[in-house]
Amino acid sequence: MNQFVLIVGSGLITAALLAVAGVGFTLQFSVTNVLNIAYGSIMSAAALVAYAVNTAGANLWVSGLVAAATGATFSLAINRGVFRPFEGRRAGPFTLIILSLAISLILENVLLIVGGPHFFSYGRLGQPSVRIEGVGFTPAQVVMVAVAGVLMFVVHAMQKWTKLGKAMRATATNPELARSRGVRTAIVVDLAWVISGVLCGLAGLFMGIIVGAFNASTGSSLLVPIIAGVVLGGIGSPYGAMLGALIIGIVSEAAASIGGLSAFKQLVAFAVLIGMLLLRPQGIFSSTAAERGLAR
Amino acid sequence: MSGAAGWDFVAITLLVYLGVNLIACLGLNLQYGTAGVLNFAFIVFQAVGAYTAALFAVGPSSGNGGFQTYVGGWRLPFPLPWIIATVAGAVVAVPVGLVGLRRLRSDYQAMVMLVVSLIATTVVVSFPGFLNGSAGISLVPPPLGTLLNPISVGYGWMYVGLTAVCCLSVFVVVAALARSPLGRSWRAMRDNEVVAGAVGLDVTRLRMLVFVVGGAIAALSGAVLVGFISAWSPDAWLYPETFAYFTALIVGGLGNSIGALIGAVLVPTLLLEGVTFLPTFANPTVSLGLQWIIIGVVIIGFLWFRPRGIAPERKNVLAPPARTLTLPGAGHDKADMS
Amino acid sequence: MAVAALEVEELRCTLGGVEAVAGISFSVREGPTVGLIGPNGAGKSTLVGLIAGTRLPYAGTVRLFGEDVSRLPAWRRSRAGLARTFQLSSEFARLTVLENLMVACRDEAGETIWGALFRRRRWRAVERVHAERAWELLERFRLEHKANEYAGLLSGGEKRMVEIMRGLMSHPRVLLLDEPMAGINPTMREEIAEYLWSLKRDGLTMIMVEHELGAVERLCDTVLVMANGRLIGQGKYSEVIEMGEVVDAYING
Repeated sequence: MNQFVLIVGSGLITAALLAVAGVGFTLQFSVTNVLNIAYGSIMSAAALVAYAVNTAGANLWVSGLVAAATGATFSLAINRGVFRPFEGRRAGPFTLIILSLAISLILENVLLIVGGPHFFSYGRLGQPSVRIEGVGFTPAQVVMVAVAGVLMFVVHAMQKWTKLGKAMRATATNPELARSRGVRTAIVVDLAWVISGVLCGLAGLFMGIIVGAFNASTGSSLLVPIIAGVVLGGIGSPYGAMLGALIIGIVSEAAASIGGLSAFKQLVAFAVLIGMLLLRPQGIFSSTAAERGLAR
Repeated sequence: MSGAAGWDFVAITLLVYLGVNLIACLGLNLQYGTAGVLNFAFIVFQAVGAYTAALFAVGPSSGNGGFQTYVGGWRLPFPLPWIIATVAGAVVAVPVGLVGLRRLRSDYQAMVMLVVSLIATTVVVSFPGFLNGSAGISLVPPPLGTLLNPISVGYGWMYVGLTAVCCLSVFVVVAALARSPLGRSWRAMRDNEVVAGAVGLDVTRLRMLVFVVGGAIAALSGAVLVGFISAWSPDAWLYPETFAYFTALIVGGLGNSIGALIGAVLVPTLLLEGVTFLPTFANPTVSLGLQWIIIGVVIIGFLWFRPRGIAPERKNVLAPPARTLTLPGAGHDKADMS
Repeated sequence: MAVAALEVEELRCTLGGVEAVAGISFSVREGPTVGLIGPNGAGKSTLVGLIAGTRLPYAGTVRLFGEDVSRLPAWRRSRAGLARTFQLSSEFARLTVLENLMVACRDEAGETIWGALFRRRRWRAVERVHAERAWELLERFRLEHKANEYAGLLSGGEKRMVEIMRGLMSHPRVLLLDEPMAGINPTMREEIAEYLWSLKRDGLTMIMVEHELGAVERLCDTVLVMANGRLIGQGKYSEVIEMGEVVDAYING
């Protein structure tokens, strides 16, 4: 078995998950300036709902749609129901992040009560029929990486070529200026949360597929590599999130493979995060982070 | 066991937990209420204190029941483990503080601290040789257990007394710090960090100081708790626990020690501990889950309706110096300067 | 030749890809009041940040009484004698006015953990001295009745005065004022101008960024004009206001 192929392959699979999740997370920050800790819990919610739908007989594609819808609904509801009213009261970043933590707790424990404390698993999704140099990948994994790639391209296209993308960037940079230029910032923000919610939901589904067994808290524990990837790439930048996810994905899989302990994945992600904060806290693509005064 | 002794134990348990939570709240209040530092990894420091106190009180792992693996085990007598635990909290605060406290925006730093809290439990669980992994350390000898029978009511009340002494000491220290020029500098940093720099305050140093002091206080609370329950595992310090303390402060009132007391009574003690004495729901998962949901809702509610909490920070009123003021404007005679 | 109070040499700073400060040099000797005017977007606030230390340049130097402070953080510059005020409200809202003033004074004993806990007598004595000075300033600026009020509850003009007083508490050698008149109603402006004039009479070196040309004319000995990140004029108010470039850039721009 070619270890290099194993590392790169599983690295890409992890990166697919982290990229989809990371881009959503960073989009929410970029447009509303909120670090949404509840993101992980929404992923868990989407994962569980998708799993329920799948167990009831639907195939993975339908589950994917359900996951996306769940993520979008929860994200939009949270922004409209909690963040926006508090922002109207000029709540500062402190308050907002505590709120996101409160929402995360509520959501996770509701999931725990509804779903029960046990773990869920998709089990083996087909045979590892895609063989490269002796390493086998299941079709589900391959499709996941492909879907992630497509999503990344869609996000890129949206940012660069659509009016919405430009409006989102304008709102992110300077909301008052954008409003004075005729951008309907409220709608743009809503759409940004819907889009990031879709990504969040899909990431939840991916999480269910990749992680051996998951429950209501798995999403939050994944915040470690997700945040590591986003910080590495530069928070606020979707391209940064993609790049960071790729690096974290491959490096953490390499560490786990070479070191032998799967816990090394989290540890390596954490080590990269700390290293980045010490050396260059704004991340690789640092313009948004620098503008928002996240790090000096 | 007679009914009276049964109620004794309920009271003792609630009081000790109240004391532990109060110490923790006072420490967190110093960090967040006074200095405006968001330490989402607070519970890790309580854990540091608990583990340290445990490790210095138990004997070597081979002898201690033979089913645990951990480092240390030096079997030191009380109060040494508690003192060492407090120092450990201060020491661990330094590297953790260095990582994020230097140049990050407050919520960015808070997010990083949350990740630290998440990774800390992962590390302990993944390396069972260090602190016995997810099972945790148990059979920790109770402090002064050789003087009094640890399962007696008398011991229980003595422990309450010990806890009270610790509470009082922390209260005095925190009050003294808050009233000093250092406390005033912390509050200025809290109110406006950039301007604080402009008036000559070394914000980096101030943040590190409050991180260290808060860490030591949190560690002490951990030591007191582990001495009482004789066991400590990662379940006791998952990242939401920090949040329970934050809720206590927001409910009780930030920047105010009385507020910390109110919060400590209402939130961690009554809500989380007191509920365990009531007849449980059919399903323990449901009751635990409900507690956290209530905490989440309470926090959102208080942040919306009464962000200052029940007992808001009190104004520091200073009297004019001992001389008569000259009145401005229309030609009054100047009073004599004393 | 006496050492200049403030000397800026070839200062450069980029913001969002644009050179906000594109090679600025000037020197201020001890004593005068220097005005800094220019249209919006000229880079004045950036320059203030560079001098005060809330922003770091990528080239150039800032010297305070001969000492190179270009890379020092704001708090060190403050302790070296440079006080500044901010354009937007910058009071410590949840401290009283008195506390706002006293926090600007350094108290070696009271600001360490050990000192705060165990050397109470020492720092109490120092506090008394600082409090006296604070009360004096409050009386001078006629705000002693607000001494124990939360600074956040004051009116805009009162906050601005508290800010100026706070700048004075540390016996600064240079006072940097970022639009002291901004957002203040005309009566208050008069009062603030009066106080600034009395400070000027006391010999305090002041650098004042201001749009209110009346105040500039009245208070400033020299005026620097900035546009597009560069200095385009320097001289007495009457001279500068006639310069073609100034009229174009400022009045019409």
